[in-house]
Amino acid sequence: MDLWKTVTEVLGDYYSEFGRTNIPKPKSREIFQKILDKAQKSLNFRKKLISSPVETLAQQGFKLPRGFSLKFIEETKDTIFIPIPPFIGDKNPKESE
Amino acid sequence: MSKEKLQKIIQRATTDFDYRKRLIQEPREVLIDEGFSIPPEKKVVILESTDDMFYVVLPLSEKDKKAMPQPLEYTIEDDVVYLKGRLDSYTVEQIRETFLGWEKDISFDLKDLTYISSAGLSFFLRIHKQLDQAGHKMGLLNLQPAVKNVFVLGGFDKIFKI
Repeated sequence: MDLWKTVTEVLGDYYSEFGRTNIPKPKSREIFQKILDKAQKSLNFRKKLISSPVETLAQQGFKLPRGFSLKFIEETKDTIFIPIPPFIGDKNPKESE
Repeated sequence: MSKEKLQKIIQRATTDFDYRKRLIQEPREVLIDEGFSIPPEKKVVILESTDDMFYVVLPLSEKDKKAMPQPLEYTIEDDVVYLKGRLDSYTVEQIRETFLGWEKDISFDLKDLTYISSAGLSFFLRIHKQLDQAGHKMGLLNLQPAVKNVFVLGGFDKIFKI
């Protein structure tokens, strides 16, 4: 079970489905995958990625749109992290509270 | 964890406000309701991305993965228990309860047991003692060489039938 992979794939699919423009295109996703692979192998790189994600990504040829940032969370042995996209629906059901 | 199911949950959480709130507050319960099985010792945390910031989860490094406890699989058929994987201080907890109350002859088929630690040995010793006192027998079958070696080195081959 590769939960993390599942989650990122889902997130990627989600964004492309909704046509969000500020999300990496498929080709950049390839570069992104390489960066993630590198973070698996090099502890130093991993630390850099966590402490200054935007700069480190840019150095690797993955430029994020201006004003858009990204945070890396390290999986731990006892926690499953599931990233979810921003809310885009209607918040009106608040009346019922 | 199936991709399709998770995708449905995530998509619903982007448009259904109440569902999203509940997913964030009690992720484990929601995932279980949706049919996922989550080990009790694992926490589940939802990371909410915003329009201009999104979260990416870095998986455990290869080294950490190796250090992670490997699960033990077991099936019980009549009086034969088939064990697959590793039997160590962590995985022994999975089966301890089941066998502490065992009251008949039993055999453990270890053909797919790849590793046993001292915690595993003491588990077998305990079960053996308990059954022996009640007049029952415990057998160990199909030990792999590496596993068998651990038994022999500890002198356990004189106590157990292997």
